[in-house]
Amino acid sequence: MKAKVLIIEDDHDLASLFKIVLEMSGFEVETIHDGTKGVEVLTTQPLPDAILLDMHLPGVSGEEIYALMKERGDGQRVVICSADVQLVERYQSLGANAITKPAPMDDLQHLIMDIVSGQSCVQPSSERYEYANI
Amino acid sequence: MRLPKFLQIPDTFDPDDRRRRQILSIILSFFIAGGLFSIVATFSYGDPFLEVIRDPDASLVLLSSVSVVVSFGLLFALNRTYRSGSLAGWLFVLCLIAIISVSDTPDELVGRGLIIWTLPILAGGIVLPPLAVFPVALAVTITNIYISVAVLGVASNPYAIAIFFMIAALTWLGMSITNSAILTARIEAQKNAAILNGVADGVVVLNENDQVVLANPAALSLMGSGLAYLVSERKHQQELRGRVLAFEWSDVSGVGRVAIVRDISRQIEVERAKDAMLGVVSHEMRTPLTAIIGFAEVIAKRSEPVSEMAGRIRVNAQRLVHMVNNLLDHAQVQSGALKIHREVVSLPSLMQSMTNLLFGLAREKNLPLKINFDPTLPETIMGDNVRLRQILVNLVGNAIKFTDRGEVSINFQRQESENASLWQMVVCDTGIGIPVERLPDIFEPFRRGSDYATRCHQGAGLGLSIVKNLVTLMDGNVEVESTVGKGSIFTVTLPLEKENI
Repeated sequence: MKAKVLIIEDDHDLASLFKIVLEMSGFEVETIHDGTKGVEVLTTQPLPDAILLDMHLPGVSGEEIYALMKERGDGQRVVICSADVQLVERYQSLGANAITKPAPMDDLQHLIMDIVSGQSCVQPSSERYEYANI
Repeated sequence: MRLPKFLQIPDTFDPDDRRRRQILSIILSFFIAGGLFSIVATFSYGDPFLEVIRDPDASLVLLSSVSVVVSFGLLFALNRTYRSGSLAGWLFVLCLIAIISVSDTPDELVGRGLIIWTLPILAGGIVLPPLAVFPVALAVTITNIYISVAVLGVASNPYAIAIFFMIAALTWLGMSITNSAILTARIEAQKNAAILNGVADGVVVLNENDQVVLANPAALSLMGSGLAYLVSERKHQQELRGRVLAFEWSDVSGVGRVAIVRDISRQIEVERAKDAMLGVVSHEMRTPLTAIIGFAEVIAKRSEPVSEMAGRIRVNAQRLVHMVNNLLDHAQVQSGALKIHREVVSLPSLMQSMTNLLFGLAREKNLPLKINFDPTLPETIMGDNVRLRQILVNLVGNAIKFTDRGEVSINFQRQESENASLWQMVVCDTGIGIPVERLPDIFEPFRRGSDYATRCHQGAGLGLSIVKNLVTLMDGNVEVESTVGKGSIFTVTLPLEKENI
């Protein structure tokens, strides 16, 4: 069975780009364009193997969705994707998977593959930050 | 010196006139006080009122005292009335001459008591304009001659008359010098006051005890009633009713501390708006650029000639991304938001990541990248990976961009100085070089080394400015040597901090 990836991205062109790229890598992809719908899908339907999450979303923001996933212990399934470099750096330092827009599509493919195959991209040092954050 | 209110003269158009009338007020008040004292003394001379009236000597003293009090009282009132000019002064001098004329026997007044006549001349010098001393001396002379010739029937003393005019001349000279000194001081004070009142910045002067001794209108309108409190805090920035005030302090010897106060609310607002705009612009540009680059990457995997065209779309879009990143970095450095991290940096990986990025660019121009690594340098040091890479990529990227033939060499080397351990990144090229006159401002934002370069090479001219700012944030410095047509050498010197184990 194909691994399932959920893309939550309000920019339709970007969402379709990610969909094409990830489908080329053999994933089953679903796209959602607003945060409220995203929360609905994430809470009612079976959890996808990976989630590509934009931060600036209408309705519920990407940060809130990430917080929700992290609370449920599924934070590592999420790849944060934002044009805000500082925001990405902050999430990376907290141990999250995060990439800056624009990112090479190869990087995106590899990151999603790693997550699906269970290899977490978290650096060991990030545990410390999480601890301090509690 | 602050005079009691009843002695003060209201403001007039002529400050000299006001000053003279002020002095006249004081002199008249002494005379009036003397007259009153004399009246009281006459009555307390033992006898009751009727006895005093019957005693001819006592009644003469009483009469003259009363007349002094009354006439000088009138003069005092006249002197105080607005715009009376020197009328009161003239009347005062004439009164003095009249009093002197009846104060003694005529032969004393032209003999031993002659000196008393200098009094009206000196008084005239003080309470009248300087030149008026000569007419006063003339009046004194005429009175004196009248007493000598008409009353006593003797010739007047020519020496005495000469002395009257000499004293008049000396008084005139002295008062003229005093007046011009006062005038100079007043013009100076008016100039300073005009500057103080005219400047948009607030100026507050504090004495040694931190008391406010001077505040200009701008300072008052900026700070209002909170002035004394705000300056007593001695801060460099304060907020007041939604406005941000900047304070610049300086010590002025003999005066105390001077604070220059400026309203920088607008400036801060503009800064914030600029940062917000840059943030939005960079975000709004990155999102479509991501789509462009991504789709181009997907298409580039197809066959020629589509892949070739897609590759060009990607390269150009990436150049735009690079510029957006530079603009954002520039804005961050300017607003002080950029922080330098402290982490383990592997120097070989730093070099590797730079060559990964720029090797293609150098190969396109057939330029060899020569890399030299000082063996005495440790493999790992403490620093900021992302920012060191940015500095190196900017410098080497520039070197490749401005070099058409020859080579670009990159050296990592150790630099030992007396009291610090340093390391250097040296980037040499054999490119177009930078004219000497342009060297001082190549690290300024939006400048480029030469007009020639501006026309032939793309870029916003932010790269070197960012390099300079980053290096400064790392407590290092960047230097450049260049010869037009031969090439440039950029040297970044940074403190060497070994990894702590």
